[in-house]
Amino acid sequence: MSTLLEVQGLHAGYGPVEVLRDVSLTVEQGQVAVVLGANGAGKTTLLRALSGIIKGRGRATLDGRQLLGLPSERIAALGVSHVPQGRGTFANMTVEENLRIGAHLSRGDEKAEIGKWYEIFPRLGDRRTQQAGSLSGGEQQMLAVARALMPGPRLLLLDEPSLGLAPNTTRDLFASLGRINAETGTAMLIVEQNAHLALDIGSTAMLLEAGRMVSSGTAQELRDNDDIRRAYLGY
Amino acid sequence: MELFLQQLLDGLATGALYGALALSVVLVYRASGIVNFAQGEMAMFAAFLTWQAHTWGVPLVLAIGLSMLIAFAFGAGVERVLIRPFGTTAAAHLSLIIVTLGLMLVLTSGAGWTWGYLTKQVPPVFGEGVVDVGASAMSRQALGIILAVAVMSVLLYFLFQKTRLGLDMRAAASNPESARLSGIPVGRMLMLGWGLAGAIGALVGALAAPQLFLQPNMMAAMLLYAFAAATLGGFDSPVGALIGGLLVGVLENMAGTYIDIIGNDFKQAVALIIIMAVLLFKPEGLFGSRTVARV
Amino acid sequence: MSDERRTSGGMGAFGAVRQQLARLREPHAPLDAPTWLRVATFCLVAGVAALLPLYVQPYVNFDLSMVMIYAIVGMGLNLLTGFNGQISLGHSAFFATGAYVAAVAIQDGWHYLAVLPVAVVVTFVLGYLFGLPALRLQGLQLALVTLALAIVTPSAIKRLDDFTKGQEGINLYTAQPPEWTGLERDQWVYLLCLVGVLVAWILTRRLSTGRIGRSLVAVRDNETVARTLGVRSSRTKTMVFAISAAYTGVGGVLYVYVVQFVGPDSFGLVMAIAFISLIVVGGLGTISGAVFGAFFITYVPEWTAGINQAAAGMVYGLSLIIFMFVMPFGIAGLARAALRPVVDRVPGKRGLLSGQGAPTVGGRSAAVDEEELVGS
Repeated sequence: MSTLLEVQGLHAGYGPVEVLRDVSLTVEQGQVAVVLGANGAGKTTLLRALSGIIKGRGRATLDGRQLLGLPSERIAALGVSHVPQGRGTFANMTVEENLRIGAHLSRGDEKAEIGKWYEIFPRLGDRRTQQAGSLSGGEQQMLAVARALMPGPRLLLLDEPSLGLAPNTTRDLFASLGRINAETGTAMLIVEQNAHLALDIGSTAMLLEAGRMVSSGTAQELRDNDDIRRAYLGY
Repeated sequence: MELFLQQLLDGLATGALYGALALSVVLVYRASGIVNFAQGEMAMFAAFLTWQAHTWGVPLVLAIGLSMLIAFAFGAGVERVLIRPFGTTAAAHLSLIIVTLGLMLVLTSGAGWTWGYLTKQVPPVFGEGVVDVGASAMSRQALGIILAVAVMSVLLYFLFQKTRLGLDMRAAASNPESARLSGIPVGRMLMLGWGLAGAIGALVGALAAPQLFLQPNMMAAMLLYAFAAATLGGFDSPVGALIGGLLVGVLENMAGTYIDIIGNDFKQAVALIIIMAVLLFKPEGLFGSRTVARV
Repeated sequence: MSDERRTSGGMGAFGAVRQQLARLREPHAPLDAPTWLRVATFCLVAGVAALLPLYVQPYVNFDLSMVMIYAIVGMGLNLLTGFNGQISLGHSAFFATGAYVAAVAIQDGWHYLAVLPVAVVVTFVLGYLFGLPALRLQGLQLALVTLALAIVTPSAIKRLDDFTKGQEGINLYTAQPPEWTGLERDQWVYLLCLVGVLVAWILTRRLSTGRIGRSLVAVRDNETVARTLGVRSSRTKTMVFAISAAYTGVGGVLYVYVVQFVGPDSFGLVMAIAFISLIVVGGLGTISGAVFGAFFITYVPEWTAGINQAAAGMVYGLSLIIFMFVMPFGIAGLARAALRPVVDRVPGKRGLLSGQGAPTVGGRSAAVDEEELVGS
C-alpha cells in the first residue's frame, strides 16, 4: 500500500489562537483512518486545515503534492472531499440539485452517477425534488456524503458524521460508509466522538488531545489501549 | 374605469423597471448578504455611458449592449476590490453599508463632474408612438419596457435553473463554504452575481432615461422604489423582486391618482410606507425565505 | 487570502508600510487622561473658542458656527451609531424638522430662542415615534428605512407647502444680537452655537460614560447578553434614537440662526450622507470625532467649490471608502494613538475609565472571530 495523505508538523488555528500543534498522520490509499478526540481537541480544525478552509503551517501532501496554502476549491479539485460538521448541505435547494452541485468536478455522466447514489441511498431517490433543508438529520447526512462522493474523490474527510443522529441511523450510515470504502476504494479520514462505530470500519486510528496527536496505531491497538477504552469507549 | 385601467398599465411599465432594479439588488444580496446602496447610481452611470456612446454615433441598441458589458465588468470589479476584502463577519456589514454609500456618492459626483447636471435627452429605444391596448393606450416605449424586462427575466430564469453555471452561482450564494468544498470557485461566482446585477441595472438605466431625463440624481427615487419592491417581494427572492416591482409600480400610480394627500409629487412616501409596513409585519416579504440579516 | 500571505512575509520597505497601515486599522481605547487634564483641556478649548469670534472675519464666524452645528449633529448620531450600533442614514430628516419648526415659528412671530425647546420636543417625539418601529429592525433593515426617510424628506417638505412654502423656501431675518452685548450678528450667532456645542459635549460625555453608556455599548455588542443583565434593550434603543434626533433638531434650529433660510433641497440625500461622512471621518463612537468630522464636512465643500460642483460629493464618497479601508476609526482613532504616549505619562488622579470601550467597526480588525472558534 502506498501513502495517499501525509501530514507532518501541521499547525493551525484561528487568528492568534493556535488550536493544532505539530500534528502528524498518514492515510494509506484506500484506507479508513479515524481520529478520536474530545470536544475542542482540534478535530474539526484538522479537517478544515486539510481542505483549505483555514490556513495551516507545516506539510500536508496528497500524493506528494502540498495542500496547505491552496484555496479550498483547488484542494477539492485534487480529489479531497470534505463533509463538514453539521452536514453543510444546500438547504434551500433540492436533493437532486445538491447532488448536481457535487458533480461539479466529476467528468463522468452526471445522470448515471446521481442514479447510482439513489440506489445506494434509496431514501434520497424518494425525496429528489424536496428541499434539502426539509430532510431529516440522517437523510441530510446521507445527502452530504453522497454529494461529497459524486466527483469520485480519492480522500473523503468526514467531520463527526454521527452528530445529532439517532443510534440506528448512525449504525446504518457507518455500514454504508464501510461498504462504499470496500467497493470504491475511497480513502477516508473520519473524525468522531462515537469511537465504537468509527473503530469498527477504521483500520488505523489516532487520538487527538488538546491539539496534539497523543497516540496512534491500528484500530485494534487503540481499542486495546486501556486509557482510550475508559475515556472513549466507556468500558 | 378607463382611468383605472390606464393607471394600471402605466404602473406596470414603471413597475417592470422597479422590479428589474430590485432584481439586481436581490442578486447582490443573495451573493454577498449586503444591500448595495450604489446599485441605482451604477445604473445611472451606465445610462450616461449609453447616452455618450449614442451621441458619438453608436446605434442605440448597440450602445445599450456596450454599457451593459461595461457595467458587468464594473460590478464584478466592485465585488472583488471594494467588498470582498471586508469578509463576511457580522461586524463587516456596517462597514460595507458605508462603503457602498461612498460608492453611491462617488458615482453621482463622477457623473456630475463628467457630464454636468443639465438633463440629457435619451431617445426611447422602442421608438415614439402609442399602441392601443383595449380601451387604453400605451406608449411603444412602455410596452417595450415590459417586454424587455420579461425577456430578461426568462433568460435569467433559464440561467439559474437550467445551466450548470447558474446552479454553481446559486450554490455559492446558498452556502459558500460547502460550495468551495465542492470545487466551485465561489469568489468568481460572487463577481459574476455582482456583474449580472450591474448589467441588469445598466439596462434599467437606459430604459428609464427617456422618461426620467438623464441626470446624475435620476436614480435616487428609483432606488427607493426598487428597495420597496425587493422588501415587498422578499430580499432573497428574484421572482419576488419582479412581482414586488410590478406591485409597487401599480400601487404608487394608484395612490398618486386616487389618494389626495399623496398626489403626484408625494408618491415617494408610498415606497417608505411599503418598506416600513413590510419590515414590521412580514419582514421576510411575500416570497422570501429569511429576513434581511442583522448587521 | 493567498496573496495576503505572499506580501506580508516581510518585503522590506513595502512590508513596513503594510504594517503601519495595519496599525491604522486597529481600534484604540479612549485616552485615560487625568481628571485635571480633562478639565483643563475643556476650559482651554472653551475659553479660546469663546474669545475667537471677536478677532476674526464674519465669514470665519459663520463657518465655525456651521462646524459647531454639525458637531452637535455628529455627537447625536455617534450616540446612535457609534455607541449603540444602530445606523441611521436619515438624520437629515430630523435636521430638516428642527430647521422648519424654527423657521415657521419665527415667521409666526415667536422669539427665536423660544423655538429651541419646542424644536427639541418635536424632534425628540418624532425620533421616539420613528424609533419605536425602528427598534424592531436590525442593521440593514434600519439602514433601508432611514435611507428611504432621507430620500422622501425633500418631497415631504414640498408636499406640506401650506406651512413650508414648498420649493420657494422661507427667508428670515432672525437671531439679532441684543443691544447690550454690543456684538455683531455673526459673533452673537457664533456664541449661541458655542453654548449649544458645549452643552452637547457635556451631555454626550455623561450619556456615553457611566451606567447609561455601558448599557448603550452592551446593547450594541450583544443585545441578548445585555438583556439578561437587566438592560432594557428596547427602551434603551428607542431612547437613544429619540435623543439623537433631538440633538439633530437642535442643529437644525441653530442652522436657521446662521443661514436665515430654509428650502427643501438643502435637506436631501447629500446632507444625509454628509452626516455619515462626518462620523466616519471623525471617528465612530467618539465625541472628539464629531468635532473633527464637523470641520471636514464644513470645509470640504468650501475648498472644493472652485474645482467643480461635484467635487465635494466626490471627496465625501472617496473618504467614506478610503476611511473604511485604511482607518475605520477615523481621525479620532489616529489622535488617540498619537496622543496616548504623552497622555499616559501625565501624572494625576484618573477617573474611572469610561465604559465605552474600544469601538468596533469593520471586519478587518485582527480580533478572532468567535463564531469560527466554536467549530474547533
